[in-house]
Amino acid sequence: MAGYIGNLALFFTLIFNGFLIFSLIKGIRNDFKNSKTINFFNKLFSLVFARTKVSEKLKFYTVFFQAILILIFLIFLILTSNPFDQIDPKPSQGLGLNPILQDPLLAIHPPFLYSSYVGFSLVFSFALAGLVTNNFDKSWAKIANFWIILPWSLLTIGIGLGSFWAYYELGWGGYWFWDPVENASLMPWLAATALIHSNIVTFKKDKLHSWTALLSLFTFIMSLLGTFLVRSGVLNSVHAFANDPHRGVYILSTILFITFFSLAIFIIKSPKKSLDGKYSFFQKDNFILINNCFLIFFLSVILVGTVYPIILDAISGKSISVGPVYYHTILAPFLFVFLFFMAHGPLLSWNKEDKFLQIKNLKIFFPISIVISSIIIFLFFDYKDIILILGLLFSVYLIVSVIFDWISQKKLSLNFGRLVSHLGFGILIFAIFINAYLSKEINTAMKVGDEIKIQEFIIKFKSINKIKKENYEEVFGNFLVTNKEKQVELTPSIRKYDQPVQFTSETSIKNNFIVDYYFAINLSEFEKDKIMVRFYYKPLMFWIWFSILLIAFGGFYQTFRLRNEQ
Amino acid sequence: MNNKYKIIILGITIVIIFILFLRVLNSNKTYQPNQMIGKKIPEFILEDLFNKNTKLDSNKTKVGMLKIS
Repeated sequence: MAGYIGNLALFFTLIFNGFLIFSLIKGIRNDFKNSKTINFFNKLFSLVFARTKVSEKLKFYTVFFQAILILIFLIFLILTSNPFDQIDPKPSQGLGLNPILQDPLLAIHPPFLYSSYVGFSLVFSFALAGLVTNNFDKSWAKIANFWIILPWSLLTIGIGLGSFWAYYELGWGGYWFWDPVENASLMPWLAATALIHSNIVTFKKDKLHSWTALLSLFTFIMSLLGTFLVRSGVLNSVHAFANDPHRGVYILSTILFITFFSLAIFIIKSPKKSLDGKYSFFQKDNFILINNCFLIFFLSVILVGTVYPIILDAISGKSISVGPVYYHTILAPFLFVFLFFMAHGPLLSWNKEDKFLQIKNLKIFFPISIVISSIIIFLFFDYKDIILILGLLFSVYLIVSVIFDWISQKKLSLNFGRLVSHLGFGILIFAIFINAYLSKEINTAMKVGDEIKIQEFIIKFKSINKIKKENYEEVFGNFLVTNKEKQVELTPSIRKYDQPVQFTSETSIKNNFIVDYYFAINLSEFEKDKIMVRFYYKPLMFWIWFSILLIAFGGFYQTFRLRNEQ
Repeated sequence: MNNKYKIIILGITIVIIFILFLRVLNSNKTYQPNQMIGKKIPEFILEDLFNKNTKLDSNKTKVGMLKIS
């Protein structure tokens, strides 16, 4: 019964959407003179763009493009992934949810990602509407600001939650694995970050119209690419849930159809405005543009690293490994320059030229950053690596610049969102570098009663317990880890799920503001009476999570400030 | 460059991308980015981990409490 109702609901949604597109085309043909249609869609539009002043034409075309997107995805849903399809004969037992997804965070993380992708679809439709109606200008950028920052903030939280889940659930001791599906969420984030900044330039200086329009389209196209990677079955990942080539062909066709038509509209209608006035390099908009280029470079590196091995494997049968080394080697040197411009850009003015050596933050804050990072390196690091030194120096420089910028603000609320997000990014990079260089890992096999001493840690395997839950059995190991700083007791476990029959490793983490003691156990394939033990000493993990929250909070704050302004 | 040529170049690029990914989909190969995913799980018996002389008398049973050396 529920299946029939569901199918009926889908059918009516399809009909309504068809009617919506038909009416919109009629309204456009009549040159917006059909007042009833305009009134109806004004009301519909105001549900989404409440209190936003947008021209009639822009509203019409935005809803029109959005309705086409909805139609495409409705057809996709009905033809390839109908959730109300009947299975005949009815199975007595379902396949069961993948055990690693049986986690409360997995009920929160996907809706955040999904909401952000949907949000980017609105930006996409709004950009196409702006292009078609020749309204892609300062006023477009002012309205779009809110609709870009909101999904970006949601995506930041979504990525952060996914990373946090991977950290404690997968038991691999890391928080980012450069997994193609993780990359699929990072790519739209980078594109949207570039878009936020270029859109500010369009709004403030009436420049970069074409670039902003292109990024608006590209951000959503990147979200679609993520959908393709996750849903088509080309990948096997903890995040990839489907394995159906027919669905893959449909998504691929859809993405390329949307990409072709949106970029064709961009080519035909892209706003062409000549730059006038005196050109000066040391202006805020130029620094934003430089960092836009860096963001797109990071995105390109990740795109190649994600897609190239998949295509190569399928076409030539050659498997290549693209892992952290590839990403770190290529991205790190450019990240430092990016941080430098990120620290500098906000302190420059929009209009007048600032002479490089007169910029107070370079003369004062850079030496301060050198002193702070040198103290950290000499106190905590036995060996010095140029990547580490530059990573700490430029992240500290960004943090110091933001703090002084914060203090010197006359009206803090205007820039509060930006300051918090930039501060969060500085802390994130600082914590990532400290974590990467000071983390310690111990892998060994132990049985109950064993005590081992590796590096500065003494690990005792005290006892083992077992419990039975509704859908799994769980074996807990009780470990005591001692080093010169403290003694912690950790209780990692192994679960055996009934349906589907699968073993998972559940981590045990004891943390404070400075360090995480992280323990995971696994069954040993070779020594049946022993347990494989993985212990990680992970500094500044708290600050990695906290900084992601700061970045997102800055976005949310800015969103609500803009909302109140509108 | 004329817009017509730009659109033709875009169209050709899209067709090439389509053909490449279609081959990926039709190859029925699943790219395995991480060696830990999809690894066949060996047969394990959780009881192997426990001291066989200790009785399991309830759902929550503490076993194998051994001396810490």
